[in-house]
Amino acid sequence: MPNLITVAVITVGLGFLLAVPCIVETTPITMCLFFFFGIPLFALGFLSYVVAVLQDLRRHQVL
Amino acid sequence: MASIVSNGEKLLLLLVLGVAPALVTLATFALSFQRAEHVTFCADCHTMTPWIADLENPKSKSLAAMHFGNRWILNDQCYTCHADYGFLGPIRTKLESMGHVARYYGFMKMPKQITLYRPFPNSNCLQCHGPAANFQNNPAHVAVMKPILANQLSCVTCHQPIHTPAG
Repeated sequence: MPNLITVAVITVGLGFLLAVPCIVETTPITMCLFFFFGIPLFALGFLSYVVAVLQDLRRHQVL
Repeated sequence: MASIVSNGEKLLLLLVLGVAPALVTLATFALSFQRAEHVTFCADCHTMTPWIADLENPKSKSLAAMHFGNRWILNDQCYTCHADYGFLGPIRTKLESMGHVARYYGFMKMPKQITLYRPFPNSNCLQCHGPAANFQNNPAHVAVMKPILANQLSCVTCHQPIHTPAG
């Protein structure tokens, strides 16, 4: 699996891990963890995925 | 990527890395902001302990304690009074409350004394009291009805104390 996809899977996985406590029991700390770390991790994961896709498209001379 | 990842796996990656996080974020937003309206959520921060203690004190004569103790507001008593009435009120309140959480956990500078962002608007009181006959027919209110409705004369000018956190 390419490195960027690995990074994306790990960061999104961490984001999911931070979402679980907030969904199970919303307290200021669980909310804070998800909103300030979980969502940026999701964004980072998706961005890594998009970059990996673009690199792949360039490699195949689609872009 | 194409050489080692099949089309089905690409679709799975898109679902896991794009669609699922978006759905989880939306669901968590909705759920946590709804739960953040509860008094128990406000009480989680130690900064609020004196205010919550006053709220739950049956001997307190503060307006907040009477509204809470007599169940004049059934649920989410903090939020009901402190979320500004109107279309953008709840959104602004929730954004500001995220700022409170950030300050509490040290992401931003914590103020030494808690104060309201702006003067307490009458519309927050009038959302319940406005249509009530005992408000509209009260001679003390009738005499100053226009400035009350125009938010020129604050309800809290006469109706005190709001909170008595010191006991």
